[in-house]
Amino acid sequence: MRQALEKEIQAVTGRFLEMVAAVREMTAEATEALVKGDAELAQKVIKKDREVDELELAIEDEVIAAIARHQPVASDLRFFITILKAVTDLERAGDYAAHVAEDALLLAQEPPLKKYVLLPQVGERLLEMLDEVAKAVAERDLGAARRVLELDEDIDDMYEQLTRELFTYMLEDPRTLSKALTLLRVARSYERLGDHLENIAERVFYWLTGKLVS
Amino acid sequence: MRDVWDAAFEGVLLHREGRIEALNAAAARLLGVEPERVVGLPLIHALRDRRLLRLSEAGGEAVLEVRGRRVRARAVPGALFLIEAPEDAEREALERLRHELRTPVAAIRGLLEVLPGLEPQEAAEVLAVLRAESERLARLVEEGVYAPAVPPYALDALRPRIERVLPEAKNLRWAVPGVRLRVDPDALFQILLNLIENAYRHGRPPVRLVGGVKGERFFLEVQDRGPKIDDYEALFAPGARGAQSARARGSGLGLAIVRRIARSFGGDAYGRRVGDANAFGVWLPPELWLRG
Repeated sequence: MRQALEKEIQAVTGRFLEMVAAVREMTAEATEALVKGDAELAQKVIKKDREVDELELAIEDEVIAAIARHQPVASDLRFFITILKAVTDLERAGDYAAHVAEDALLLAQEPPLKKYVLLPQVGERLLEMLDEVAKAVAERDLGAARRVLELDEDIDDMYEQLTRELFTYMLEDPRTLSKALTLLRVARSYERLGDHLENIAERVFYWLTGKLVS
Repeated sequence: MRDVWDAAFEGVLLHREGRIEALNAAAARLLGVEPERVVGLPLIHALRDRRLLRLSEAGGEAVLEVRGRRVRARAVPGALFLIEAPEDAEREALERLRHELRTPVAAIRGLLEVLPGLEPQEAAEVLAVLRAESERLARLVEEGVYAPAVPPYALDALRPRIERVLPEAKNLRWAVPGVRLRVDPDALFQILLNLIENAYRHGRPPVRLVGGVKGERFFLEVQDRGPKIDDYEALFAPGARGAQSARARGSGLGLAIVRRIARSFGGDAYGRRVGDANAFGVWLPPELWLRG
């Protein structure tokens, strides 16, 4: 019985890691599309969002079936509940990556407002967060979950910097308004993406410790 | 045997029926995993990447970004070999260097052509530009430091911009000698904004912007009358906050960003005590500023 449950936990973990990998691909490609003004790549990201949506539904089904079959308790139950809730956040994270790609499509039609410096750094930081989320779940690593929370603070700080920089452009030259507003939305999408990853890390923390993040 | 396996430069991961059998230290490092936590589990637990997973299933070779690194991966049945792919980074660096050199070299050749026909005064100016440009290029070649060519400007040019974004900066006292700067104005603006805002937020008025030349370096610092700080350097760590700012809202990243920008053009950021003031500033290398 225990062995069957363990196998089910591994399978669900595997599917979840696949979903994290898909969102990571979307995030990396959305950032690349933005920086390079690559409309084709942006389209690819938008299409991938459907894959992520399908993975969410499939994982939900598997988790519900597993709970019904094994009636897990304690940390096993917390694991399934964690995944059930985390996929919703992950799906939302994928949506935000798709939003970045949609805005990258808009921005690709004209020359850039300026060379993007901070935005790709935010993108890289999000990839690090996704790597840590995957590590936390795959290796049941509390340290990795904590690092996700720390990294999200960096994202929030960078978002603040970006907002200020973009406001400067808008104040200086009203012609930049439309592009700056689009970039502001991109920054906002990144920031929200980070928040959803933070939610996942908090759930993982609860799964591994049985306690809420203080 | 175990030692040889772990001493290998190349990462090796062995798998059977979709499960991880073993991985050596190099593979664990490249994949960012603890071997004992993933051995026996499905491949995705260690790979966490759909392209790597497909590659190990189908076999073949590819260069992929894995955990932020470029990695060359080769898969045969039952084994995945991984090694960092630095040659791509080198190629990219070379490409960037070529791109960086093209425009200034053309400009230098143009200036050299007109030089013989110029009046002594103009010729001296052109020579100064040529000298600065060649120094910048030498630095680029020797240290790979990126410094885009910028027409010289006075620091005052940034003043309206700063005051528009930070209204409190209207009370800022400027004490800057008349040098002309060649540092990317957007980068310098970002630096000053952080330093000035920090001084108003965490320091005590009056706040002064002070410039000065020491040897080949141009120093630009923001001073305020805040109390002495124990460790100025510690405040440059990302996320650091001073005692004064423990309750204040905001980043703790400001000085780290200032330092990152300053270093990106070959200078650095610093903090120090000057008389009864705290000073936070940056210095610029010689090719980024001109006297008078």
